[in-house]
Amino acid sequence: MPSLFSVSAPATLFQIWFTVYLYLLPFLLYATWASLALMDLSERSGDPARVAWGAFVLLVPLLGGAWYLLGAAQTIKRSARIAIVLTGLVVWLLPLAAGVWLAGGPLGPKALS
Amino acid sequence: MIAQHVNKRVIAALCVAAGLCGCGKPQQNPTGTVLVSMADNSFSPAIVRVPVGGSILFMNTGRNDHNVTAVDKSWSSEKTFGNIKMNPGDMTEIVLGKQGVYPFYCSFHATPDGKAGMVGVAVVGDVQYTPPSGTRGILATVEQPTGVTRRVPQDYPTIQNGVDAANPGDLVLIDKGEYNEAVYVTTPSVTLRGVDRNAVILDGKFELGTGIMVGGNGVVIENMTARNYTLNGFFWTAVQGFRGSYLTAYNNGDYGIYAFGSTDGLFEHSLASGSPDSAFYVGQCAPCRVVLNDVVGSYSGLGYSGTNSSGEMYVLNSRFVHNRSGIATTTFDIELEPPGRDTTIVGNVVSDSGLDNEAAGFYATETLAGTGIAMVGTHNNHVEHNLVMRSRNNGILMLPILDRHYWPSTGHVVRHNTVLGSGRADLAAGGLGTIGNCFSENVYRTSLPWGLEALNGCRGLRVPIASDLSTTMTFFGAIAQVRTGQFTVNDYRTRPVPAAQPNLPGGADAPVRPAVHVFAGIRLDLDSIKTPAESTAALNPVPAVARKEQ
Repeated sequence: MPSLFSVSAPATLFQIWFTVYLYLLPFLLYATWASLALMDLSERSGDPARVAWGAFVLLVPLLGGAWYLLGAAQTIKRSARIAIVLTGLVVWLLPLAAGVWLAGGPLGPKALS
Repeated sequence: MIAQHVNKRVIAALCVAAGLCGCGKPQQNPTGTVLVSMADNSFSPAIVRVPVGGSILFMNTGRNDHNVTAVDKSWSSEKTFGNIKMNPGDMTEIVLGKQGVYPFYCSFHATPDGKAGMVGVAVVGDVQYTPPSGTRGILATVEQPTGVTRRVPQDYPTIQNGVDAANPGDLVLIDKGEYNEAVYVTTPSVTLRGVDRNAVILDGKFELGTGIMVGGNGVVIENMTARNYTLNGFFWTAVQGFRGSYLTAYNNGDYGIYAFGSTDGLFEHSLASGSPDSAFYVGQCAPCRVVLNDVVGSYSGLGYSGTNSSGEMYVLNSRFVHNRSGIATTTFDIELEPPGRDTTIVGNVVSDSGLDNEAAGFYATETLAGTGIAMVGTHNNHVEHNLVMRSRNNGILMLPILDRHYWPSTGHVVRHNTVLGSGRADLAAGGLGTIGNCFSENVYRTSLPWGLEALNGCRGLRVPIASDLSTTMTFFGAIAQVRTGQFTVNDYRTRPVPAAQPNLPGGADAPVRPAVHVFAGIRLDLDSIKTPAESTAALNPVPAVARKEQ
């Protein structure tokens, strides 16, 4: 098996940050938001839009689940839905922005000794 | 300092613009100041005209250290900047108060006569100046040796004396001994030969820059060793026709054996070790028409590196072992001729990349550390019949690069390689635009993304899912590490000393062959090159005797 979730050596904090946190967290967010959305949809028996919403949530990663939770979910308290989506975005996007800032600039001079 | 008052990005943009507009004719600014970009490794514009009392603002827009000195020593960046090295981004203003024509050069990357390498000319005041047409100098290459042998130290006390006395086609034969020289060669078609590869030693004592720097076409260097230079062991710059045979270069501060802006050449039967950048480097050429055959690159940041080596570049039958990374083809906008492309890498052993932490290195090599063969922002390489073993991270890796432009890694053919024992993935591809590559009949165990070869064969099925986000993220993580200084590199001065190496067959009496029409004279039979025999043992780690007993 390829070591899909392994970091490059040496396994420094930056490798863990980029490879584990920034790479894997979107998958966890997708799973979390989609699960909550599907749980909500399961309560909406008889709703003709249920299948379409389910497909949207599953086939449009992240955006589908977030969209449904923020705008169409019915059985979860509104404040909870907003907290779930916004907290997820913050804990992903802030470290991502910091990572882009760290990894996106020039490397510096080639210092010969 | 001026540097404190000028926005560097604006200056850099102006420098680029000046370079683009100034090709082929003197760049003139009658009001006083002209911008000159110090790229890797050329001045742009190379010919500038300023009024008496005007100035030139030199800015290092490359990735290497540079400097500028007038050939007549009347001015230099060392005087105005305060240091012989100008790091990337540094700039200095030089005021020219006397009318005249001032050839200038970078002492790291050109001959001090201003004839070869990273050179330029400042025309000050209202004086006539006609740039030389055609090739540099007045001496032409010759295809046949003259039969004249100039012996060092019997006839000439130093190698430089012997070289200066030589005519095209002569042999400079160097006797056993240690020579503490930095030699410059601008006479074409000269052959420099040691009588014993292991006993003719140029030693820079960690004070001199480059062992032998060549700026003349058709020059051959063979059967000697260069060690302990702060820059390079052997260096050909801006030449057509070159050959390095039976050379050893170790523990030099930048590159071991190095050709820049040079075409039609061959490095063969040579060893380079302990360089922070590359053991062997061929850069900025299109088409290169350069072959590396039967060389060893070890204990360096990169075993072989080719930046913008673009077309007809061959790395064959060689060993790249115990480096931070084994082989890297890269693209950078800071050098001419991007993107790097059409490098053929066949029949090599690449092992222990980034594994034992014994190699020299510098920041850039750390971003790829632990990679066997890396193709970063390059196009259309052929990687076939190589044995890539024990890479700390990835065996064969493709990544894009963002410089001034975004360069995807695309069009590569990876076939018939044996890639084993990689810490992360044997075959890996990351980043946007890493598509159009194909993989067939490789022996490997892991790939990222999964199914890379099954879904991107060189025949039949090919899907556009050919890149993996986790690989991209590991690269970003490595860059972040480097940018924050979270890495350590070994001192090149203390890397392992290589064992004695084979001598040139025939030694001092071997035929003299000036390096003319080198590439045309090489018989390239790529189909006859097989995966190195060690791959059989690597695939079957159980000893044959033990298997019989089972």
